[in-house]
Amino acid sequence: MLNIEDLQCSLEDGTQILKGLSLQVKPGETHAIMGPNGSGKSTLARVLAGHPAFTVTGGKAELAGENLFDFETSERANKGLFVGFQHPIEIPGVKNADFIRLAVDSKRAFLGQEKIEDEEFQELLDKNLNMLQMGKSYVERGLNEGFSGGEKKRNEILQMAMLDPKVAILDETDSGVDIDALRIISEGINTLMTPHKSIILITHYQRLLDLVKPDFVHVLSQGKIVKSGGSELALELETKGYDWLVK
Amino acid sequence: MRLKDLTKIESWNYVPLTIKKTVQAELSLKEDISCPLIPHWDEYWESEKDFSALAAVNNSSPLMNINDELVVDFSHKTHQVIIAPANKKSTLIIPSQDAKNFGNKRLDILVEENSELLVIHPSILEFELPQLMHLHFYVQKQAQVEYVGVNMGGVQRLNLRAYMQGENSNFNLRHLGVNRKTEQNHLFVAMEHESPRSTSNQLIRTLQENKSLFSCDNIVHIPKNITDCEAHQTINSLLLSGSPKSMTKPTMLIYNEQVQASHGNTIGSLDPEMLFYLLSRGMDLDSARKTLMRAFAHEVFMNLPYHKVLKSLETQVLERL
Repeated sequence: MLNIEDLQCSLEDGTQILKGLSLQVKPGETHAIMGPNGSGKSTLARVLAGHPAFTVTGGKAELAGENLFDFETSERANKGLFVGFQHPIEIPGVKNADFIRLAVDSKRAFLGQEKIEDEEFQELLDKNLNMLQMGKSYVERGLNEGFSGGEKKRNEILQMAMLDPKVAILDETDSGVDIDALRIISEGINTLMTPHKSIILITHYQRLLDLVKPDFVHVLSQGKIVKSGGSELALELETKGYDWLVK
Repeated sequence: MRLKDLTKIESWNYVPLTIKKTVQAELSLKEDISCPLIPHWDEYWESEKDFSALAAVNNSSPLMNINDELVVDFSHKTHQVIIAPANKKSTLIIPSQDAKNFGNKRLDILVEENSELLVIHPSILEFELPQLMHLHFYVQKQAQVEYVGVNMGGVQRLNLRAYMQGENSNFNLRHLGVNRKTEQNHLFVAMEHESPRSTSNQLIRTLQENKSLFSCDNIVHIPKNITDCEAHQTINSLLLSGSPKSMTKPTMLIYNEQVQASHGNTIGSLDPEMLFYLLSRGMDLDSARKTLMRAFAHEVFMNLPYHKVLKSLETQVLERL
């Protein structure tokens, strides 16, 4: 589903962040990427989404066999890549429901489909709001405007649910989230996961991985994956930290 | 406070316009009219006998009451005096004054005690001949004014002065400017806090492109003996493309410490992180830009009382972005 080979990228000033990262994610798999601060985890998510601050200097990334870097950011999203951001941005003046609908219609237009009908959209929205235990008031407010950390993360999962991506990269979905919200978010992720989808969880903590079981755990350090393993690797990291891997 | 008290206003920068004789002939003007609301009226009356402001007094009363809702008609009266009656909610609509010749209009609006006045002022122009509009508000005790103005197109200047003359009077100003090509939007705002516990809030936003020009000279004045006032002033300019100019001069003249006041002034372009966020959800660049522009403009209309004209104005303006 997602095939990354020897990916290298740098900032405008030439600082290299990713230094040959390779990762294969198959349909139905959940991968966790862990690693110390500054190792390139969030950069990976942003580079794949097409953030203009980064320049890909080498390697490739394919989504369902197509080179992601041949496409603009919006095309990547419409082809099935979803990034749940660590710090979802607030956009006052854009009603959350209108924004979600625009996103849904953008994808449908890209796929040559008609705009979603009012009733169908409302039904889908209500279903996903219920799943995430979000009141209707969330979608009547400005996009992430005045949302708490947990509400913002839930709103990211709501968008993921509405857009039904092939691959979802969730960047520190567990940060700034209380225990109850984390449980709700995790249940949402588990509900949305199907054998045809893949999820990459970027996280610092085991607590998310207790609720969303990864098939593989990778440790990223200095722009490269330095160790991969099963879910037991996350437990090992919890007790031993990263020092033994990054030295 | 009543009309006679309004004459204490000292500032006066209005230059009256001599109207065309054809229009003048249609007006049955009275001579020796006195209008205590207008400072230095007599001087103007002597020097500018054909000053079209007299059109406002060509009937028996120089004043016009708003009966729930009033749409200002400037066709024969370029200077009018309007009263928002006490203890009432009313709406004043000031339509666009587009013209193929130079325009200069003035409204003096007395907002009586405990009244709530919604002013809807779209100024959407096609022609590039300068249009000047002077709005002077005299806000009495516990009266509230919600002013929503939209300037699009043409070359226009709005002089808006709000005199908060009664305790607990309140003036909320929302202004949206949209300027393209060589269009110009000039704004002069003065919030005169003349009574304790008066409040003013301003949100001024402009979207500009090409070689358009926006200037804003904005003054909040709270004298030494006027305490417990609140005044907030926000001016945001969004420069979209080309080489537009935005010149803003926020000024707060506050002469005592028992006030709450703030001001913010920003000039910038669309936020790249916001754009990226929208793009990452599948929107194309054009849609994402329009969404952000509309969001920027939409905030001017947020949390306002419902009025069908206001709603329609918002819809039309946002659709044109």
